[in-house]
Formats: sequence, C-alpha cells, structure tokens
Amino acid sequence: MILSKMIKRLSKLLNISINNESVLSVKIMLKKTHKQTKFTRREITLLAIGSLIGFEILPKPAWANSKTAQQMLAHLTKNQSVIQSANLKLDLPTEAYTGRMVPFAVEMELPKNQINPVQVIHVLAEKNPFPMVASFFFTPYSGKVFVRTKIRLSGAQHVLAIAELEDGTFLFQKQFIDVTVDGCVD
Amino acid sequence: MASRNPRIKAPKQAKKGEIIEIKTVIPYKMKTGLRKGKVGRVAPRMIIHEFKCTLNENLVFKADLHEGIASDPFFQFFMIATESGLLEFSWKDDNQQRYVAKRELIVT
Repeated sequence: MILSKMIKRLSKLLNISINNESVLSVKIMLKKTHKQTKFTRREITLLAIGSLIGFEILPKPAWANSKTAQQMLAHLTKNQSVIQSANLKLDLPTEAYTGRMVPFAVEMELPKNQINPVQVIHVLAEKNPFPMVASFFFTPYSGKVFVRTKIRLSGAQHVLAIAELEDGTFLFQKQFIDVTVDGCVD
Repeated sequence: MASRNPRIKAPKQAKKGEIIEIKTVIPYKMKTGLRKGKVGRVAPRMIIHEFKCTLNENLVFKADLHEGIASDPFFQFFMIATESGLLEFSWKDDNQQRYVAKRELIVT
C-alpha cells in the first residue's frame, strides 16, 4: 500500500499518469528484482575490486594531482640539503582574517657591492591545495633581491621561501601565519 | 570582458647606477579551478601564469605564477638603471593571451 501511494505521489510530481495496472506491474517488477538481488561472495568481491578500479579511472578533482609541499620541496631542491638563513627575510603578517589577499614580501640581504648570487626564489605554502605559489627569477639587472606581491592562503600554516644561489646551494626561511577564512576557493 | 589595462609605476628618469623601484598591477580574476557553482560545475582554471619585465629585450625580472597568487596580481621589485631604453612588461594567461605595456626610461 505504501509503495503504491509513493508511486502515485511520484507520478504526480513527474506529471505522469499511471493507472492501477502499471502500478501493479511495477510492484511485481520490484518484488522480482528484490528476489534477484542476492549476490554471491565472488560477485561482491568482484564488485568491490571493480569500484576501486573505477575510482582510480574516474576524473579526480583538480587538487588530487597536486604534489604535497614536501614532495614539491624535494623536487625544487633536487633532494639537496636546504639551510635556514637569517639573511633571507619574509615580510608577512602573523595573522590574517581572510586568506584571499595576504600581503607578502621576500628579501635577501646582501653585503654592499656584492654581485647578486640569487637566481630564483620559490615560495611555498605548505597546506594550500596547490602548495606552489610562485617562482621569482632575478638577473644581474635586478638591483635588489626583493619582491612584494599578494598571495592566497587556505589556513593556518607555514609559508616557505627557498632561494637558489648560483653555486647550487639552497637557503630557506619560513614563517607561521594564522589564517581564519580559506582564500583558495575562488 | 573587463578592461585589462595594467597600471605601472616606474620613474621616467634615473641616474646611471641608481636602483629604481617598479610597481605593477593588472586587473585579473584569478580562477584557481577549485570553485564549484551551485549546479556543481567547476569553474576552470584561468590565471596569469607568467610575468616578465625586460629592458631593451634584456630580462630584468620574471615570475612564474601558480594558483597561490591572489587576484589582480601585483608586483613590486627593483632594477638597476644601466641604460636608457624601452621597459616592456608582459603578462601571459592560460589562454596564451599576452597583455603588454611599455614605458620609456631615460638614464642620464
């Protein structure tokens, strides 16, 4: 009874007129299928494996392919050791309400009249869905190793700057920032 | 389409060897490819992924940008005034479209 009522209500919703006979036939079909839906153990295991494979094949969300910050760091530095340096300075607030636009600056302090040894500065945000933020390339024309920009952050996390020098060594500096509202959704 | 007129703040004149400051900003909605609409459709990624500044076709500053850069990408950087010439700024987005702005620099 409840089933027939439900079917009628559905048909009303879908603007389809169903007479009593078709309701009956649907009922019978449902009963039949109910009887038939008995799986053997083999079928169940096969289904489980199939669903796993399907999960792998189906398109993943965009962030699922992004590397973690650790992997990214290893990739950038080619598994070399990274030294924390006090000369590399980050300028960003210690807390921000929204991560949509966080002012950020990185600077490498050099002795006077020294030729700029920094080639690249990579910026990483370790808990962003895409941890890579930007890479800044410096040349003999750039007077200071300095850049100011605005970055997105997804939450409370460390922000890292990794400087690659001409002789192949890597320096890094990090700072913790407390972000309340996720800014990476846009 | 919204106007994409980049704004640039760079000195017109400089002494030789002087370190000059340059500020640039371009209005651009950086879509990270993570936002879902109410229907469940994902807005595709559309960001500016490269910024370059050249003086007489010599590279001064370059930035490779990823999803972590805020909308309306803004940069402040420094350069040494070595020779007078044409400063060229270019932005490239995911459609491979380039936005270019030029400024003259006179070095005395």
